[in-house]
Amino acid sequence: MSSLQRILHVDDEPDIREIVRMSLSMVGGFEVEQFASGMEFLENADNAQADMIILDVMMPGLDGEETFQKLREIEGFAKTPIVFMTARASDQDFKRLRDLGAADVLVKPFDPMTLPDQVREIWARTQQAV
Amino acid sequence: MYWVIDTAAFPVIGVGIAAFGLAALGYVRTKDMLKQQRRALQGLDLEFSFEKKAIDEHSLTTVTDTHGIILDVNTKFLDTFGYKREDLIGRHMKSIYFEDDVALSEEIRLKTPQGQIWTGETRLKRADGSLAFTQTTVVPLIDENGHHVKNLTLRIDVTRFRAKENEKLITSVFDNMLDAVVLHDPETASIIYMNDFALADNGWSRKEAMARTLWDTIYVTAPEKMAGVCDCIKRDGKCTVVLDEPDTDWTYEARSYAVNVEGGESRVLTIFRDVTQSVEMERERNRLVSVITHELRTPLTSIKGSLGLLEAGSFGPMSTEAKSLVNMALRNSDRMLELIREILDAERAEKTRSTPEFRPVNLGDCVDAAIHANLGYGSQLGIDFVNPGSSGNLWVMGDEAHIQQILSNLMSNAAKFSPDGAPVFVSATQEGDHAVLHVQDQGSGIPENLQQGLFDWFSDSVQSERGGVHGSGLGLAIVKSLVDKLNGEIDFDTEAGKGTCFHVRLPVLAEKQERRSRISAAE
Repeated sequence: MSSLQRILHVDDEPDIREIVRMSLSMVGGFEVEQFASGMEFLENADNAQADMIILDVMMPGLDGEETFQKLREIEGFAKTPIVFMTARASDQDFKRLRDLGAADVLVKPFDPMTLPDQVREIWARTQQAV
Repeated sequence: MYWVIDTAAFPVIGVGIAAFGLAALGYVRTKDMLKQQRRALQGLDLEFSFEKKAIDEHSLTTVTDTHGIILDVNTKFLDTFGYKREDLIGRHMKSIYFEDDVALSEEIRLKTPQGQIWTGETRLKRADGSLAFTQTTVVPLIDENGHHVKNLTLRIDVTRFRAKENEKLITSVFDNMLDAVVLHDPETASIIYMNDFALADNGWSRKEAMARTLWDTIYVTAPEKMAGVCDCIKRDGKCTVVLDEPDTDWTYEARSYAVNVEGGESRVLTIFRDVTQSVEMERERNRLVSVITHELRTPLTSIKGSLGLLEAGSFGPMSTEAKSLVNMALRNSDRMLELIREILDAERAEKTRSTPEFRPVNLGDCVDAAIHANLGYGSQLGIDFVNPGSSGNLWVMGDEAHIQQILSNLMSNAAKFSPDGAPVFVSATQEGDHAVLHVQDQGSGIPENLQQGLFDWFSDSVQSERGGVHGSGLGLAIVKSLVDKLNGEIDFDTEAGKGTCFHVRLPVLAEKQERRSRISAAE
């Protein structure tokens, strides 16, 4: 099973990007590349590489779900595990995002000390499924 | 030759001739009388036959002896109720009375020996077991010595008339309703009755409506949705479906009920209620709640995240005072987060007041799904949810969404009251006729003074192991409400210093029942 090394993260909130970066790189030891919007990510998608993508859901312009669908059309990201991170916590939201094809859904607020473990656990599951 | 007649014989001869004449006259008169009597008898016979024919054509007649045994029935009776003559002759009359009217047949039989005619309505069973209403007259035959010989019973079948009367009674209730009401045939969907509200909605006269079916109404734009209703009614006796078509501005809720009019045929009563406004309000409310919780959770993410990193020493050791301040800020962030959760809980409580949909549910699968769904929450609190082992193939008749919410609320509570690193055990086992869900924490137990009203709405709550986190008093009340809806029971064991285990008991579905239920659910 290959290891999880490089994570791409998309969120329009600068503070949240900062916390996620600290959590995943300082605590988790991952390489982290971040974008402030779905559009910014897609514009740079050709140069981007990732073992896993974490997407915020509620973003202005292209929201998380639309970004997800566009990513799936790009050959390099067609099979990359994508995890949604959201503050919207209804059962319908979770179901909708999982049905879309997300590897999992993480809820905000999260614990920055345990986020890396959660991400590793999701990665392990996706690799088993493959 | 001469005959010599003695004149003295003349009187004798005269008497003789007179006697002969009288006799002849008597013979002729007797013959006439006999003829007249015969004619009279023939006339009576004709009249009797005529009257009997009229009765036979009009009435359903039976002749019974003084004990109630059937001696004779007319053809009309046999044809109307579907019996054969040999089925009834010699049988007691009460054997063809409807069960509830057997006592009435005895009452009639006891009254008629006194010569009284009895009139009233009786209910009989047809040969096929169905119910028939008859207007009945029982005429006793009393002989010249005053003895009761037999009873002649004349009946008219008024079943259809009664059925129509019953239907009128039902429909008169709906005439003034402000929902659309349609009474229709379960097989053909032909409309039998529409109330004024429905007629106005569809722009029909009563006569026009009688020539239409349910599918012609404005409410049923998607016939396939309503088509399943008839099967649902045959199975459950009632059915509710929401008719919400994308190219219409409205939403209708259709509630259908099987109706068996006494003496009549099966019908379906459907009430169409315009729920457009309430659906729109519900959508708007959901959207508002979702937006509010999102807008509150987003800044909390940054606050808790940064505090969490500081507290963990990610940026070097802090002074005791700094650590204390960081802890204080974290506690209050958790408190805000708890408040948001309570708002969502209250919203869910509002939504789950709806009736559960009962289907076969595998409790083992529910436990696994609940553990998976709450992994993230648990890891935030440093708690693992563990299934120590559940009974396999454990089925109940329940609503899976309700069961998931029960587990989620209990697990959330258990996690709050568990110390760091102590797992919460979640399992499902069988105990006799019950399937039992168990959620066990290893916290400090529930104080005795709080146990009494633990499941009350807005009950007093204790400070959790997490420090300073009080509940809204809603969580366990919501759980109890959901368990009640599933016809289950909830109780708990608690021990100071050791922890608490909640048990939710639901009637187990036997294997055969489960297979049958799953097959019919799939159909």
